[in-house]
Amino acid sequence: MEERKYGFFNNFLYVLKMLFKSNKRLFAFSLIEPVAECANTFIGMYFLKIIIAIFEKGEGTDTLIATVVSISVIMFVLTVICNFYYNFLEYSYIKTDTYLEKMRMKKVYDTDFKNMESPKFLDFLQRAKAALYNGMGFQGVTRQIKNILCQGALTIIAAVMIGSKNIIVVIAITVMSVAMSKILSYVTEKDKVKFSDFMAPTYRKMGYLDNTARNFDFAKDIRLYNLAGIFGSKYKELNELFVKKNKEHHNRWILGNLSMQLLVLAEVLVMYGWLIYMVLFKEMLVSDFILYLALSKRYTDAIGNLLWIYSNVKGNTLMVNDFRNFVEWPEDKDQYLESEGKRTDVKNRGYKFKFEHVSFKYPGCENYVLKDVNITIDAGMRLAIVGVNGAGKTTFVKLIMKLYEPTEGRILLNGVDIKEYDREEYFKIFSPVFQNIECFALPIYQNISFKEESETDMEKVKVALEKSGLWKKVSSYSSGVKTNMLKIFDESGIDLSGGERQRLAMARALYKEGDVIILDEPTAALDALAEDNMYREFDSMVGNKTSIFISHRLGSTRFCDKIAMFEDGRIVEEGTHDSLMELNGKYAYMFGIQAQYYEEGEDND
Amino acid sequence: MTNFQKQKICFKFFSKFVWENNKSYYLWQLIYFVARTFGAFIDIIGMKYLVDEVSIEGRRDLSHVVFWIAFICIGNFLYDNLIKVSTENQGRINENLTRQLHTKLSMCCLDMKFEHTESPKMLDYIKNAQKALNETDSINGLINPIVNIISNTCIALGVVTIVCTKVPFLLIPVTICFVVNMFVNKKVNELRGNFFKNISKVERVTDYYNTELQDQRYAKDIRLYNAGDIFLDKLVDNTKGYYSMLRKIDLKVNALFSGFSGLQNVSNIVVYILLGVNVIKKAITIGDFSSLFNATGKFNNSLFGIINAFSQLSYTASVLIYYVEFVENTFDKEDMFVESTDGKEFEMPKEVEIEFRNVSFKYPRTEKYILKNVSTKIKAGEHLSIVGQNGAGKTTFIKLLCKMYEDFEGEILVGGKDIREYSFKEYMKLLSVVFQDFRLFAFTLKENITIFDENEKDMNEIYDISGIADWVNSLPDKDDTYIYKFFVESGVEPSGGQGQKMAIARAIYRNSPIVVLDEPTAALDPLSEYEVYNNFDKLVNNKTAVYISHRLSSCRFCDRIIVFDDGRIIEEGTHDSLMSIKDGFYALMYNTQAKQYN
Repeated sequence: MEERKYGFFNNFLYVLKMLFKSNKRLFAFSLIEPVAECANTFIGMYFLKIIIAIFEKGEGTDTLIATVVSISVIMFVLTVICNFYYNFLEYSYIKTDTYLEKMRMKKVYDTDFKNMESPKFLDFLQRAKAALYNGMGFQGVTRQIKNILCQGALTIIAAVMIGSKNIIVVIAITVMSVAMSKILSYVTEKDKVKFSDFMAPTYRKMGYLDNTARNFDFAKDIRLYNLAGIFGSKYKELNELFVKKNKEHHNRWILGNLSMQLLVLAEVLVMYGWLIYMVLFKEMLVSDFILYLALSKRYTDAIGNLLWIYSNVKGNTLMVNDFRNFVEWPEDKDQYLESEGKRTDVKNRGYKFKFEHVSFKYPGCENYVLKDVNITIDAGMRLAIVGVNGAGKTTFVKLIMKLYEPTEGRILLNGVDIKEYDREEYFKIFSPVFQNIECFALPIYQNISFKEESETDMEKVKVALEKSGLWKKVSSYSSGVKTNMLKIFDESGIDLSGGERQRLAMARALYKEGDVIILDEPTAALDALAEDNMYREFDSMVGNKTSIFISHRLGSTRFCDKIAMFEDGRIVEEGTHDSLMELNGKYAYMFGIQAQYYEEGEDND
Repeated sequence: MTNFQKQKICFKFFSKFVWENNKSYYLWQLIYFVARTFGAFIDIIGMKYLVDEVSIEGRRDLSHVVFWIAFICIGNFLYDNLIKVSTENQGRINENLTRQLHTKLSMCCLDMKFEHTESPKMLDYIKNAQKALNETDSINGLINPIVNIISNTCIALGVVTIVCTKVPFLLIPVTICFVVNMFVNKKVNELRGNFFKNISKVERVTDYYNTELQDQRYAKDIRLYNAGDIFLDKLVDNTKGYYSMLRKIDLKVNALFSGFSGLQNVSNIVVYILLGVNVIKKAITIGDFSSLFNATGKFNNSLFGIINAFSQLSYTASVLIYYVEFVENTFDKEDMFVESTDGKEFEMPKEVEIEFRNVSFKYPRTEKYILKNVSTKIKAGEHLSIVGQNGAGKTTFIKLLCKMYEDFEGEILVGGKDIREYSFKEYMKLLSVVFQDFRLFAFTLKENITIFDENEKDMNEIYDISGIADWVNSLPDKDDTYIYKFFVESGVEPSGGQGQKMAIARAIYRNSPIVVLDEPTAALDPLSEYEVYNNFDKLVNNKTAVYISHRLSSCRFCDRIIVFDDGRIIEEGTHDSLMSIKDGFYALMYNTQAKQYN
């Protein structure tokens, strides 16, 4: 998809909009605080002037006390408001953060499945997450809202006040500040090219070494091949490059700062020159001298702050831009035709699938993974899919479950193009068991029902566990089905072995009571006896439902009614085991290869 | 451990680390300290004299005015640049040293004994140590607050001295402020400290929902089982607790801050009035007044600066402590591999005999024996197959043979020598292993096979035998092509089968006298599996080989089969002899598989 680039203000307003939607109080306070802070700053500047004016006019102690006390009290109130905001932001921002995090995760859970396999989408997924890091992206912008408003107001008010006395001084200071901003952006740009961009591959390599060294999946190979030394020397090489480039990087900023400070020096000299001239030759009062000195200082500082805030906020708005690209990532349903994705009447008595000239290539790829596939799966049929790695077996299953849409051709369910069905409704008819079984850090029953306790039918969970052969183990835990899985939240959480996970996945599929069963290489990790057991259990689970079974072990496909042999994206052979053996083609060849050892064995016996 | 102890430990560790690696860091900190502390007084002193010059009509001497303006302007110019130069250099050294700390962390992981890598706690330790470096400003996060505390204290004391020499009475409100500041400090630290203690669990939960579950491997299940809603609910629920926890603390901190501001305000009022009265009494000049007025602002900022610095220090220390604990305490020297330093070149034997004598083993910190009194002898050049159900002890047997664990009971003799007498590195040279969960590295294809140990072997022959020759030749840079895209963009991603064949090629190249194959064909389709079997002989030719497989048909290559059940060897013999045992376990397993094919 096309990456959308929004402007600085557009993104800034987006942050405000999100803040308003998620947390109206914080939004309001972010607008009130700058008023208080701005007022506090100005009163602070006038404070000294007013007191000195008292001395100049020769007024007495009473006036002094009254003035000091009343101004101090006002400033105290304003300070309390500012302090409150500072602490309020710390906890209140969590609401906004949660709102955004929910938005992002909702996208992760709901987006078209194809996106979850698209590297570009996954890249934006990471970038959207970075936009929610502490102090960056949204939070970075939010923290600066009050500063932008406050410093902006200070700049304008100070400029007007000084300008009313001497417009030339304001112009001179403004020109020099603009020059400073040019220097700043020049250094930033140069540093980006010469450091950030240049170092990106180095960071990637460092990240690889860090992750590999600390990932114990690599531990055995690293020790066996004594790779610690290799890693050490790679590290050394990268670290040395980093040290060298890092020095240039920091020196660049030191130099950049020096040139900016020279301009600041010029600004300050202009300011003092003007004010001293006014006092010595234009009879300006000392109290006014002090006020205008403070004002001009405030003016130069505020411009400097604005420059800094801008460059800081700009980086963060780019992260916000990434976030927006991610949550606004186009979905298939946005492009559905009138007739597509609406029907909810998926549920039926039997399920007959028909592939008509289905071809498929992954988005952004050149090669077709499936080519002109035609096959009918009758209601109640057990279909086995076999073939070498990369023949298109898993893709076939993804298409039938509507995780991807065919590139060409169509898939019919009971005569209706599956495109017409609502995706969520369509998912409901399947009970899949995938090759890799993932457990979630939830109680056991939720790992099966994926519903809150009140909506979970505990009796049904029990039945599912019994049927999948896991009940004995689960009931041995003191908390039974409420035992937490994984140790992420609960130190005493339980983990399951490969075979037990398989059973858990079966229990899931049973609980769901899907009418179409999909088994994607479910026994790869099992030993001979467990595998044999599992087949029997599948057999009873499948019953007379429509089912599709992928396996490498050709012997195991024989309980199926029909076998489809995939090669290079096409169905090359189709039929029952016996008819395919009789055909003596590719299936028979593959079967023969696997069976030969056993057959010879039989001969020897 | 109290917060203060943590700070002490961290300070000791990191200050020593900096001292050993880059002493100039301290020089920059010193420059920063001097510039920051003295810089604060430029305006205080300069303004006094400047205002005096202009406010006392009779004294207006232009050269003095110019001098004091130059003093203020150039002073601030130098101050800003010195601060910038020193902070940039601190930053630079901090970043360089943090890289070194990261490297050190990785090297600890690479060098730790294997058994630690299988302890679930270790992963937590590493994660925390990593987090310590990533989420704090590491060394700067620790040292800067300390320097700031000292510098702010000096500034505050300096201001006090100036103010009080003019008007000694001011010492009273100022002292009260200092004392209350210390109290507020302590309270804020306690509150924040408790927060950091409780936050880690909440963070772990959040991490699970917003980092772990975004992984694509969960995507299918979440969609087909419609699990997204429950995770969204839990995510929101979790932050609610976090919110109320933080809210409670921040409201308390806010009350403390406001109270302290109020006190400061009262003290400021007293200071201003006392100073003002003195001006009216002509005891001090307007210049004194205006500079002292500004100085009280600096005093207030310094006190708040101290509170914030303490709070940063205690946060940084509470996180960095995990790093220190990891590299210092998690291991003692014995937990690392120690290279044998006797200088003797290890002579690689050609043939090796292996013997397990009454070996029993349970994993560290567990009760259950995984291997029970296992004895077997593998003759030099013999090919042994190990079979058994999942969890019977096969993989553990291999791990012991690979010297991954050493505290077993009984003896393992390799080449007549107790396995524990070999140094780890020399023992590894005896082994060519293909693990079930083998890993490739983001180096070139060739480097992945030679592991940077190039000898005269004919690489093409190795590619041929392992069945990757065609694939290697199809790659743009042949065997100099990088695997994965971490090091170069043009790197390739081998398929499961190609990867497995590379792992086998790596083992062939190594040409060690003992070959161990742990389910090397599990990920392969039937045709590739067949290919690998056909080349199997070339790999294990004349070597002592141990082989695990679930597909019993492959056992028939082997001279002898041992059958594990529940940690014991229950059957042992050739395929034919095991098949002839009536009701034998091996025969049962074999027939179960075979019946699918007849």
